[in-house]
Amino acid sequence: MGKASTKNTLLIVVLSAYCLLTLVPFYILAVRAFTPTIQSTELHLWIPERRDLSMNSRIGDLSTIYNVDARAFRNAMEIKGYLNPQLKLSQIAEQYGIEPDRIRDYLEPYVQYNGIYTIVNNGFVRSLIATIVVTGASVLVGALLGIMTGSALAGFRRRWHMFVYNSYLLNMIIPPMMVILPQYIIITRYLGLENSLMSLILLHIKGGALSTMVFTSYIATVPRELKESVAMDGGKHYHYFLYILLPLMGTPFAVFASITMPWFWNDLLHALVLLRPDNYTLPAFVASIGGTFTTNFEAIFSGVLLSLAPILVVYLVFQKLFIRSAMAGAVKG
Amino acid sequence: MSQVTLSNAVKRYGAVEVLHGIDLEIAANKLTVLLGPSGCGKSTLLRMIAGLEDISDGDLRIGDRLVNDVDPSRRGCAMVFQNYALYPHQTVFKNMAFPLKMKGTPKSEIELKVRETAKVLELEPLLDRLPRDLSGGQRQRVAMGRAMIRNPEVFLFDEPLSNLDAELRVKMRLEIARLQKELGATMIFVTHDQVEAMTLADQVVIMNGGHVQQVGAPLDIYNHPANRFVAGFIGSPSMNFLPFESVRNAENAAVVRLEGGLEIALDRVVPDTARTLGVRPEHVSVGGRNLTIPEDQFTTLGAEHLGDRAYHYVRLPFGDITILQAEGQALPQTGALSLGLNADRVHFFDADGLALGQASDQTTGTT
Ligand SMILES: Nc1ncnc2c1ncn2[C@@H]1O[C@H](COP(=O)(O)OP(=O)(O)OP(=O)(O)O)[C@@H](O)[C@H]1O
Ligand SMILES: [Mg+2]
Repeated sequence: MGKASTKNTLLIVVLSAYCLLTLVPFYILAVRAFTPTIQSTELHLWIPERRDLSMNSRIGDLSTIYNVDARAFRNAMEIKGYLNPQLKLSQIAEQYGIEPDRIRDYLEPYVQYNGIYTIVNNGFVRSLIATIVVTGASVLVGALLGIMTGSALAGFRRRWHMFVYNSYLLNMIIPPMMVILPQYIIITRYLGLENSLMSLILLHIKGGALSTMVFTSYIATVPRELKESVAMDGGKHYHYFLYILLPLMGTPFAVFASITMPWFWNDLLHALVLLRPDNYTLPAFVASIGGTFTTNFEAIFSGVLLSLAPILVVYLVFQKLFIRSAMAGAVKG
Repeated sequence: MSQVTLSNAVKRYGAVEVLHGIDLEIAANKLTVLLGPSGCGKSTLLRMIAGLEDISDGDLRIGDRLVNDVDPSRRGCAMVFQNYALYPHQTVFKNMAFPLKMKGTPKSEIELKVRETAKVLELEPLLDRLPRDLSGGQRQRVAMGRAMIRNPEVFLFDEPLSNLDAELRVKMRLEIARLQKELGATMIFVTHDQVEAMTLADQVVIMNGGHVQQVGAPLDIYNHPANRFVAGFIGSPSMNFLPFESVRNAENAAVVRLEGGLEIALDRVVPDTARTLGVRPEHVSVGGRNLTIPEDQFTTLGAEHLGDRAYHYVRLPFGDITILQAEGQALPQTGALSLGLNADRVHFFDADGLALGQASDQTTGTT
């Protein structure tokens, strides 16, 4: 008994450690989202204490670190003309005859916490919707294409089936970076899909190596008698596809979706290249929110955290479906 | 009603011919069993009838209709597959309703028919279950129900019982026989289990290597096998085959000289062209006077005890022989072994393996 329980304990310890290890990045990310940029050069394991707004800080630094829009600040404080970024807040108050508290009240929210605040106020929702549209359409259309290809190829009864399959898989080894320019030219110049979410969807479903692989191998395990039975029952091929094959695709769909969804969701490169800011998907939006000459890490990490939340939920749902259908199929019979 | 007729039916996969010109008439409203060893082409033949495989050559008629190129669903056949092929995500009700749905039957009528069929098969309490929540026997019955619901003229079964345990197999066997009587439909049943064939069939078709070997009633085939293959295939343990060198015929008697020199005296005439003698274990008795084997020429290999009877295996110079004895009767431990053969139940085969010297109460094929 002793031996077995030691073994079990060891197993549990190792598994938990591994589990924790995989969760650490999420934790760090969450902490980062609440860490002021000014402290972001250190590794924090807990949300650090926030420093109060000091009247000794320079307005330029504030706009760099906290995304304070200097022009909006000037307007709010009714300062006309050029505002020297080197000026400290106390100097501004003095020089322009503004109540220090007025300045403090205006700037406090930025310093207090500005991550999620900045993200949400700058178009997070719009980008979220764009991302949902792109990811959803890519996964659904990709899966449908994969199922269709898979049902045509399953079993590899003809020589050319294997050829088609292999050529699909080859698509996987092309580095996306290398073809991004010709892709861009084709999409914008010849397809007229400039700044269109459609272009991202097209790129995601092109080739479909993974969907072909997943669905073909799963469909190959569906007994051919099902198809024959439908034929004998008087069904056409589309009946088989619609009534029998499609409902059986839960498991491979869960596999396919849980692998590709994060790719599609987090696709930064293509979004940056093919879209303009008014159409940005989340990764591009988050990347752009840092500012051109400034880097607001608090906002960036908040953006990453926020953009991960929906996908995390969907991901967990699919994992559940995946596990359930895997168990259902595991029992023979 | 609907007999199934094959004339010179050939099946080729590319260059490989797996069915070599099958001529076969499958009687209407009877249960016909296709029996043969694995790979002999039973399933292929059945699937050709179903329309799931093309016919490379020859004709297939169901009733009077030539159906070579008719769509599977329009042949009036329903098939029960070995793995049942139930639609896994559909309830029993939906599974059984599927053929009717495809036909465009109105909903109310579907409901009625499914319930009616479920009643016959005692599936009523299971209608809302998924196939994976059913036992093997229940799945089997659902598959039957899905086949029955269309009122097909011909039922096709491809080893439908092979996934069941022995007890259930017997039960379902009786069930199928009962349904056949009740529905009065033509049924074609593929199996490689001869007990199934013997107990179920009105007519047995023995196949081997893509040829039909013999067609007949089960007992006819057992008692009058058309050739050596059938003789050896039907019956378990298998018939004893004793190859011999020569025969001396006299009036109503003969002496057969076996390879190895032993002689069998028989009270009957042996056909001149015979080369092999066949006799089933139950037609050999210990203590007879047809064949005497000296002590140094045989060894006992052991026995299989089945409770009421036992099969004894004996090694002779020319091969092994199996003898059926009642339980408790042992072979003599010392001295010569003398055996009696039931002369009426001895079979003779010529050099080509064809059965000889029997009445023409059988259909013969070729090897
Ligand atoms: N698609 C195919 N291509 C080539 N040969 C085939 C094909 N399908 C079946 N065969 C061959 O046809 C022969 C008959 O096969 P079939 O499935 O009819 O055998 P069976 O009598 O049903 O055997 P079992 O009892 O094992 O089911 C076999 O030798 C098999 O190898
Ligand atoms: Mg078979």
